[in-house]
Amino acid sequence: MNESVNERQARLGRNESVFRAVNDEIEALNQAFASVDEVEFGIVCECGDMSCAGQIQIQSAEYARVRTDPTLFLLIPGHEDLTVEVVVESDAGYAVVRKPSDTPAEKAANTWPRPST
Amino acid sequence: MAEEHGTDHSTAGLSAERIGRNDAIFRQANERINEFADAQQPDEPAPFICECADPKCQEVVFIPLAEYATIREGPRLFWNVPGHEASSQGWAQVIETHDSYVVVVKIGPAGEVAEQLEGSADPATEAVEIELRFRRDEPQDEPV
Repeated sequence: MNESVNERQARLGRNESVFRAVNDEIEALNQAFASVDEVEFGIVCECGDMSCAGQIQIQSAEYARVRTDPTLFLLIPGHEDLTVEVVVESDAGYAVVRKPSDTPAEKAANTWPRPST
Repeated sequence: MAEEHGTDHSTAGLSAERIGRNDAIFRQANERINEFADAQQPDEPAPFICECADPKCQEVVFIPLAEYATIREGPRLFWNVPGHEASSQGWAQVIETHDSYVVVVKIGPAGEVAEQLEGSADPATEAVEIELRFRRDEPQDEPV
């Protein structure tokens, strides 16, 4: 069946729009992959010593994962206080500690998420 | 010489988490292409971007929308340009072979990550639950 000029133009326009959508997605992919790569950032040590100003380098996805559990804290290795917390991870350049389920843990959990001001 | 994509060298050292995450990022892009193509010309094959684990791969293959929809029925299923399954570093098995693409199932921790990120609005950064040893990229002696 012969395709009319108008039908052909419409088809070509649809094709072009689909390809443009693909290119938009390729650009979005580049941005998404860049966000995976550019993830390491510095945070401060979350130990109990108020005079500690140590910093930890951590990937943002890791940070987000730890933050999903309000009883977990990120510390410089060696800054743990084993009388009030348990080390659950320690082989990534920082330690992840969990507060036991007593009063300090409840206090910790109750401060996250941080109340908006 | 042109850089090869979709090979085992192109993703050497990537963690299982990163393999699964890369797939999920490609899947999200293809879902948007699918939505657009379905609205524009649902009876025509649409150009989709290879869903291998190599973030630099941008190979496009035309796939009928019905076939694409079948792949999307499984949260661990992806399509690759033939041969690009090697970029999954062993975390993928070919389960179907077509003329221009293969369907793979992601296995192990990479499969877990891909499944957890199905439907995620931000598969690049959304947290996943996976063992620590599968989250660390291995340092490379040479740039890949």
